Amino acid sequence: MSRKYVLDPFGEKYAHRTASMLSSEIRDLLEVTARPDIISLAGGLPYTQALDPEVLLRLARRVLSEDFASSLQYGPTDGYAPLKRSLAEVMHAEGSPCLPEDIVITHGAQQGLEIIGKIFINPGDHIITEAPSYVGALNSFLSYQPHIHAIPMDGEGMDVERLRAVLEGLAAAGEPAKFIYTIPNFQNPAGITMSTERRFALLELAEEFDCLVVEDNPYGLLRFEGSPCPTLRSLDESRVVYLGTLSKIFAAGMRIGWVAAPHPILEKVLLAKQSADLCTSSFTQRIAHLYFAEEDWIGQVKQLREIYRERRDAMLEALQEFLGDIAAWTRPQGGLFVWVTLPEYIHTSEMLASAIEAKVAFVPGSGFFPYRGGENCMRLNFSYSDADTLWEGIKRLSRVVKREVSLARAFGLEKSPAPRPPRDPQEED
Amino acid sequence: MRIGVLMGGRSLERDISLRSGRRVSRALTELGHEVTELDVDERLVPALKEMRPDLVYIALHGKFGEDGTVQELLEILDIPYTGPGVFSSQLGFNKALSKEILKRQGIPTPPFFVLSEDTFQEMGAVHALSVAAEKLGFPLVVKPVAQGSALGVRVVHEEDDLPEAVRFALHYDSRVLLEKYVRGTEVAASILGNRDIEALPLVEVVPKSGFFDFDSRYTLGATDYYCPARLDEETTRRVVDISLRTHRALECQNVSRVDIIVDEQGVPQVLELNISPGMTESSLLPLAAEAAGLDFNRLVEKLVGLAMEKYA
Repeated sequence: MSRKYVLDPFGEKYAHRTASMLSSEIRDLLEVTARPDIISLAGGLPYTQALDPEVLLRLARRVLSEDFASSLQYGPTDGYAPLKRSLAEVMHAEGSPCLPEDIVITHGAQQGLEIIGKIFINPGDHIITEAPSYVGALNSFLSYQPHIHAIPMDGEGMDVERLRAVLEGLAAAGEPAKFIYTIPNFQNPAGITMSTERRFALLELAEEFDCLVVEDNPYGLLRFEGSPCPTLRSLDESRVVYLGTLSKIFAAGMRIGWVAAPHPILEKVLLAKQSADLCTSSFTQRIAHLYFAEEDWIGQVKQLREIYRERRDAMLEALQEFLGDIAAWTRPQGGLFVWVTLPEYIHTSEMLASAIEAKVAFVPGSGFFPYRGGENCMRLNFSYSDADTLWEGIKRLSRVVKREVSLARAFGLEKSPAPRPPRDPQEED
Repeated sequence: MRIGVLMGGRSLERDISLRSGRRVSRALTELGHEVTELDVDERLVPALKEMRPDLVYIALHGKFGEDGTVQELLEILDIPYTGPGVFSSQLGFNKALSKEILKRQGIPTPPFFVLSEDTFQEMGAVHALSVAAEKLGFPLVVKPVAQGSALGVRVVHEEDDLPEAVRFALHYDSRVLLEKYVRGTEVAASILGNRDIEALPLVEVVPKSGFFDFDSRYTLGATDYYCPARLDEETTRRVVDISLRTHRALECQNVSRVDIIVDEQGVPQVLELNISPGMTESSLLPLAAEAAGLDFNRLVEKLVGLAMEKYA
């Protein structure tokens, strides 16, 4: 007698929101890139090796000797009070004055994103993101089943004309957008920075259509070129939910981020966090507090900026050398990523298998769009590899791309023109 | 016994192989063997020379693990290993060659053509695609000649989509197979044995998406499996017969998994043969073994026994 084998006997029990959670070929392919012989430009890893191990050892020892029992105990849900004061100073340093009581500490900014999804999104709600946008944010939001409207960017950030059209359409349909999610500085993945003018325009639209703005600012302090733009929160505290993190300026492994928001929202964030994990690690919060209160963290950030600028330059130079006539790319003034656009006939997710064969990896562009888009794009990370490795990586990548071009020619597809990058008007041309 | 489990490596199926390998090595440890997990890289040969294992269990999938490469190396080092030898591995991993052999032995396999990247780059083969398609008829399946886990595979329903599917497959291998799509029941026959071979109960595969692609294979719950397959006795007998013949035609030893479509007339047609069947939680060989009353540990024990018998 034939029997039906059910490999997942719990299939009927899962919530509808799990339907979008699948094994993915791309994820498995990227698994291979952990191998040392592959130059991975795929990750988003900050360069933690730049930290001084002696300093961290000293701080960890102090926490355990001076504050043993409470560092190993549960703590307040809103975070360790002395660290909240330090984080307010970090915000001050990036021109976004803030009081400690405006902050709830989260387990990385990622938890902030998850909580925002949880407290704002009903199934079927409309929200707005940039196109492309951070994949971790898209996945957090998508699990709460919204309609995502992804607005294209130019060199100055989100296209506000398109944004207006979408907001108008939604308002007319009686289904106004809940919030606009943006990464205004050195955006992940595009590397684009929203201009000051655009920031004002976006906030005006948010006010006109009464929607919130979620400002995700992990890289703001990592500007190595040009002058800083004001944070959205500093321009309008009343409707901006701000997400900060220590992952890029200190250590991602500490898992410390924060939400700064109007108090009614902060209260909901607090309740959602309480049910998610009660509190962020008391131990790492204390280490982070000592680090920001007593160490030269600004000096460390300056050092990171220097390292990242050098690496960005190496990557851009290599791109010019090896892919100058085929590809277009953004020129980030900070952060970790360059966004590369190839001719339309090249599908980067398909190209990934060949790239891994050639021992280089990147993240295909389509993953950064909620539904469709970016098929001919890819995200490259420059923060984690030194200049020589980046040079070699781009060289390998260029061979893969050139084979794509010649293959496309053999298939009669290479008619579309070479791509143009989104231009940043601030850059000297 | 001292057993080295080869897993991981740099193939595109690395992750799947790690899942297979860890499961196998846990089983071997529970069976009382002294087990070392070896993630294959340039240190493999020195590690093997130092370890001097009594047996190597190959839990690799894809290029280098399944195509005769690592098998040849183990032959040179005189280390016994599980699964078929160099020749069968080379044949099995090359879908073009194995289908050609099946055809010559009168074993039904869907009609096909093979084209290499060079024919496109150097000879304008793109203009031959419509002719090939006309001969095979739509829908047809485009596959890389040498690649596993359905990576790079697409079903094409109309001519406009064909060049794109071929170009896609060329990312996974420099040769592509165009194969007539056969509608029917998809079954997998797992064969065990050396001189005397037997087929485990047939597993019928019903992917919810309609196509047994990578995601359907490795997302638990994305595919329904029936075992034994819901075929009548006569058809079952024919499928078993064909899979045993396939296993012999490619001169396999120890183990193989033959993937077959039973067409709407009840005729079994062989799609391909795998010499390193998956051993993950959603893999077909362990499922068939379980239906035959062989739990995972006993299956692994049996494979080890068959490997040692080969060298006795």
